[in-house]
Amino acid sequence: MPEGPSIQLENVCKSFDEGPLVLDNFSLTANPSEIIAIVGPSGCGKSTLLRLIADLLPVSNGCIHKTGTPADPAFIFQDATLLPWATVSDNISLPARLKGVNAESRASLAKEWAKRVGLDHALGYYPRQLSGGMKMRVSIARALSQFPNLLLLDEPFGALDAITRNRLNEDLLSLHEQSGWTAFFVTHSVSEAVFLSHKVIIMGNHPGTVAASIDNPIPFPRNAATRESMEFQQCVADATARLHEVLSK
Amino acid sequence: MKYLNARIILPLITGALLLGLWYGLKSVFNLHDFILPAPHQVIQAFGNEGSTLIRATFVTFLGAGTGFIASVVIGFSLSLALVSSRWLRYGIYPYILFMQMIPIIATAAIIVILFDVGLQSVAMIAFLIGFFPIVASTLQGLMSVPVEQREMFALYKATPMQELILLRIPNCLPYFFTGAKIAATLAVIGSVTGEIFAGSTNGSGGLGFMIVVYKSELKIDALYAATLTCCLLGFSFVGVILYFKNLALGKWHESALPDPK
Repeated sequence: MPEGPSIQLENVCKSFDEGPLVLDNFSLTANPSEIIAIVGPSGCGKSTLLRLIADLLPVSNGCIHKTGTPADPAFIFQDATLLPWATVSDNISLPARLKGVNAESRASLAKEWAKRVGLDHALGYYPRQLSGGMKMRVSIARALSQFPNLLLLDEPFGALDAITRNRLNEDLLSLHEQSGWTAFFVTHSVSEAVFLSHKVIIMGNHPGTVAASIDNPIPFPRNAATRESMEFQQCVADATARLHEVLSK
Repeated sequence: MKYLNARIILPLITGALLLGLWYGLKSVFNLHDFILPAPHQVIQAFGNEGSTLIRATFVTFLGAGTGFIASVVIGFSLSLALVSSRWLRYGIYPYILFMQMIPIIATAAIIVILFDVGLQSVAMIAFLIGFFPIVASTLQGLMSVPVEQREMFALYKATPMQELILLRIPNCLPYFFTGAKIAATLAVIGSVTGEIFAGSTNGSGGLGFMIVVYKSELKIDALYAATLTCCLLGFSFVGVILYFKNLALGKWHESALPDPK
């Protein structure tokens, strides 16, 4: 299995212009191919954190070390952010197009990835013809199509119904099994965080800090049945309790 | 099918009511034909003045069409220039706004002084009136790209040219067509206004010029016919724009889909 980079945040601080600190002395380590789930109250700087790791924003202080395999990041946004004028096929192969891959290879790439996310029947559809879950699948296929080794997910499934969300979580884990990217997954759902991650980070508010870091004991591979296990339930309950502790401070 | 019938029958009913109102007003107030000709007289005028009106329409069409195409080409190109440079935008945009504030009649007067009467002045006026809506709406479309899509392009290290062609231009098309639709209507209005000031007398006057002539000859029914012809010309301009809009946006944009309910 390929291995993702190791990401180490060392006392990272971030503020915008002269504004207040959004992130304060944020330190965190992700080992190669680990999935780190980040949970915390709204506005605690989770999205900013992902943008710092993706190099979309500069840090104000501290540093982010990326070691091991050179990081090749992909971002999955809260909204599917598909181009409405492009078909499913063109949306999936957009990163390839930006890299200058020719049309023929792009089409076969799109076909392959559409198949992996179960959308091979919808290649010619436009985003407005897709349901929320299908759009998110396209967004996932687009992000994974260039074989990134670092995946940043900003509450990607927040707007979906519970059934679709669970299915996509399971799909994401099976894709991870094949490609072993390192990932940061921001979510509001503690059970989603526990299901997906090797480690759950609970963030405190104003400014964003690491309030708790919980190592997730649940063994891989995980599937739908994992959610019914006592161990999983217990882990979610513990993490929820920690989150409430942080919120009540 | 029922829905389509309603789309045709309801406007016809409204039209019939308006015609009734027209005849009604004329007879109730006993208005002379010089003040308000009856609808059937206007239709007769179409017959009597047919060849003149067709020629005049063609002249107006040339003026409006040339001006409109110029406003689309120059307006769109200028928008691309403005979106790629903040300095250019800050420096030039206020003057584009300023130009828009000048009443079109005043613009027409000034243009005629500068360029003399004739097609060139008419087209220039049609261009100036359509130019602003195109620049304003295209620029808005080019600028209002969702930030996450820009971040995605940044993440994949897209060049500024790729961002322009694959993201900003497609994103601006719905806005552009909104502007173009307004500009198409205005181009005919501008062209007719221009002709009132700058129409030439050597037998090649457009609809605006004919409106002046009919008024002075007290051919009021023909004046109405010429005015209606202006409306029809405006409609056909907008029709052409809607055709291209549908071609460009039909598959993906909500505005090009059929009305709900």
